[in-house]
Amino acid sequence: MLPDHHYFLPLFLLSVLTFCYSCYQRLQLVAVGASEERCDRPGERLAGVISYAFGQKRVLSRPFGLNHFVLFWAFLLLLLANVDFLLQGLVPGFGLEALPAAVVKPLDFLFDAVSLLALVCVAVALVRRVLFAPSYLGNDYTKACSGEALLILGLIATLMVAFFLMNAARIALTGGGGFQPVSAAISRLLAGSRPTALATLFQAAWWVHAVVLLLFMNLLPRSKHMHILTAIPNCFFRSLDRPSVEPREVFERGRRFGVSAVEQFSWKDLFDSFSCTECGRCQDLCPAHNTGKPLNPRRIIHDIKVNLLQNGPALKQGGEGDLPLIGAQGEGTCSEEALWSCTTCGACLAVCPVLIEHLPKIVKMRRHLVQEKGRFPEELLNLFENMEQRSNPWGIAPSERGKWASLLGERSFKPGETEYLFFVGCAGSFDSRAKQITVALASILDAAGVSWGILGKDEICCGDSVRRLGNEYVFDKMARGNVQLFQEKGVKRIVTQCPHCFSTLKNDYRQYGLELEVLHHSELIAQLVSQGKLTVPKHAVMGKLLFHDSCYLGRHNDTFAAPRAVVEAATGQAPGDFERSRENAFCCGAGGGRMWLEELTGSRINHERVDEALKQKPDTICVSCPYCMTMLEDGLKDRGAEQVRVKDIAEVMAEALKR
Amino acid sequence: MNILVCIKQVPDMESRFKVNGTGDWYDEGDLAYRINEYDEYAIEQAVQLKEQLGNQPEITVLSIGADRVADALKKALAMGADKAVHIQDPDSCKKDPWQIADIIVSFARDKNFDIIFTGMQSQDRGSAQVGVMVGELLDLNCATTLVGFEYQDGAVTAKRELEGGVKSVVKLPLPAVVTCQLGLNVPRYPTLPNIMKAKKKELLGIPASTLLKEQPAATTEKLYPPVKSGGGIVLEGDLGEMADRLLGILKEKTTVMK
Repeated sequence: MLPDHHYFLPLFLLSVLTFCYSCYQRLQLVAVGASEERCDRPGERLAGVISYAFGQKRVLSRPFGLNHFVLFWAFLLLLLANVDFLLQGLVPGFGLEALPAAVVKPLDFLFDAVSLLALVCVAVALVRRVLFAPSYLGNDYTKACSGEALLILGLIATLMVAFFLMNAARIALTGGGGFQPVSAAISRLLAGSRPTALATLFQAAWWVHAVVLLLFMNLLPRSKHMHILTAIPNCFFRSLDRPSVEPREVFERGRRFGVSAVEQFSWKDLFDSFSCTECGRCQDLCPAHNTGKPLNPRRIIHDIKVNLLQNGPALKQGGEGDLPLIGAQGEGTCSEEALWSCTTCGACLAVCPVLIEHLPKIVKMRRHLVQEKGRFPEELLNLFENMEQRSNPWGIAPSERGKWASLLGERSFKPGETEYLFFVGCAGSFDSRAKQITVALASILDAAGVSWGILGKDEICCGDSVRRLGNEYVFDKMARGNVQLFQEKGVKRIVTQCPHCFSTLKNDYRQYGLELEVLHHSELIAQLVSQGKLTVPKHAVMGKLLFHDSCYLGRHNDTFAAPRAVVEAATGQAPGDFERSRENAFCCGAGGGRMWLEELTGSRINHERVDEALKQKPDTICVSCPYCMTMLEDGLKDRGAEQVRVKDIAEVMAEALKR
Repeated sequence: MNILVCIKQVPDMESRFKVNGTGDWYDEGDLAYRINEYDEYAIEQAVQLKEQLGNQPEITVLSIGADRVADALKKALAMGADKAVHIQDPDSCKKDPWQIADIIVSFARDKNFDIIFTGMQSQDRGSAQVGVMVGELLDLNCATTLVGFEYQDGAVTAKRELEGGVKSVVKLPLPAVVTCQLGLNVPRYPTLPNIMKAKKKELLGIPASTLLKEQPAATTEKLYPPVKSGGGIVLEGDLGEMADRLLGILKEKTTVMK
């Protein structure tokens, strides 16, 4: 009854050949990228594959992800059914049939049931795309109901329907089907048909299934469904360290600095571009995209792919592509304004189901603009000069750095004596509002009897802003200066009051061989509370309090509980959350060096965040970062809501400790 | 074309200045140095002119001072100057503008510079004399306080800033000296490849004593900070507390509340 394999064999071979050729072409393009180590610690990588790929951990973090989860597993199981199908087509009688009935029957049931589930999922996906499409599925280069999306859904549905018809016709002809409830139900509808008609139906369904299967396979490497092939390896090759920590650069003559052409990206960066599923979740969360800036993290990945495909033929010959990577040439190029719009909040990194690393690519392109072209928003000229000349973004004389401590007496860090280096940071040292946080933290540390000291005028900026802005050369000098200073002073433990200092010292400085205990003040205060070293005589009265997650404390360092614990200890109540909080928190707008840039396009990010808070009518917004403090205070002023106080967690705790 | 840019290294103006032991200059210890702001405009304009002329001209950048001056020269090289001359003088602050001009002129006299760029004044001494004296001593055309610069067919059309926001436009054929003012251009940020290239460019050292022939025309008698005339008070802290303290001050120390 099986179709003539003399026809099928050449079709199959041709399809496999074209499929392999397409994959080879794509992988050849990936190989154009620079080398990067992504195979170390294989055990850890495999564990990630199990949870992110097979467990669909991130996919399931949103309700509709369940639909994908079912489809994903249906595909995996049906892979076996399809291998069986192809084998039977090639060598009649050779397939799962040959196995004992005790194995075949459960498999028959499984394939039948799973195919129905897959068909339901396709229908649900179609209804969602057509009737209830969330806005983030579409954007300026694609839409929720794109031809590609509908074609793929149509092909999957066709495969399932053909599978059922094929089985139903066979059951109607030869009986059986006891373990194929769906197919058997359809076969009952066919009862009474002439055997020749049933045989024709079987032949037709078989060929439709075969052709669509081979077509689908060939479409994969040429569409966004390439992710079916690349997503699992992409989870394996993921960054095991914090992906927000950009790789170091080597400063030697004749080298390139940053990325100005697609082939300067690493092979993993290019592999990322073939792994994007176009799910749009990064676009949905991006604070720049949400406030009308030209940046869309998904678009950046898309543009890299388009650029690579277009310049590919020339690059494979060892030449240069015609389409520039950075510029205003539309699809396939990233606009400079888009690159400067990023707040490096990391929402895209944290949400991507296939672990694409958007942020480092943006920083790599910024590096090119800053270091090779000297081209950046004019405000940064001042910032860079202030950083290089005076080691702080405001350009205040370095001798003023330790002045806030003058009322506390001698507080320098003494090697061998002092336990904690209090790395105050630029905001805490120079910004008049943030200095109040510094003083509050000092009073808390004193109240708990912690031994702490500062570096005073010897402290220099951690370099967070310059690194995120792509000025790696200046960052490198600052990092080396600080690391050397910490080593000379024999520093073992550091506490910071700024998540940017915290993350830079803790994560970025590892690249410089510095592995110390670095604590954000929220962590240290929470520790002191739990150790009973801080007792609150009365609770601080803050009214209705909302806690705003700082990106660099929360998302970039997974510290969500400590600041909340501090607030709870100080006020006696767990703080309220913003609508978007923790991993989904919305940036204040100041990260990635945006603190020092004008925000001229679209609406203001801090306004969006403040409006989100004001819906809940809070009395106090509690922060854990001096940048968030500035942005939210400014936003509240602009919205005429100055009655809402912005307090750092240290201020709330210091208030509670007052007798 | 042969271009000379004269630059000075000055302390960061954000620094805390102290009068030195002899009472005639500031104490140079514990200060961070940078290129005099106006001289950065001079470097930028020279590099722009070089670019305009298809990179044909050669730019020499000159600075007088102690060893640290090499940093300023390296930055100028990274911005696009071709070679640097460091006139070594650990005591350059003791020399008056006449002597500084004399040193520059001794160096430049036989070099046939077509145009000399410099800042309109230094941020520390602020005499604004060196540029014009170099022009006079070398018998060159001279225009000061440039906020606009155009070069065509051997002549410079310069927009000058006068007092009270008035501008004037002058045209001067080369050879000439021009001094640069804020607003002329935005000095470029040196790119990393250019910083690396600058390390290989020529940096010639010449002792100042081999060039200086003149005695000072004016000596500095005394340097002192202005007498304090009632300082301001900056209130910090909680908004409510600050308001109370302000109210108290207004009540006690002024008559506005009476």
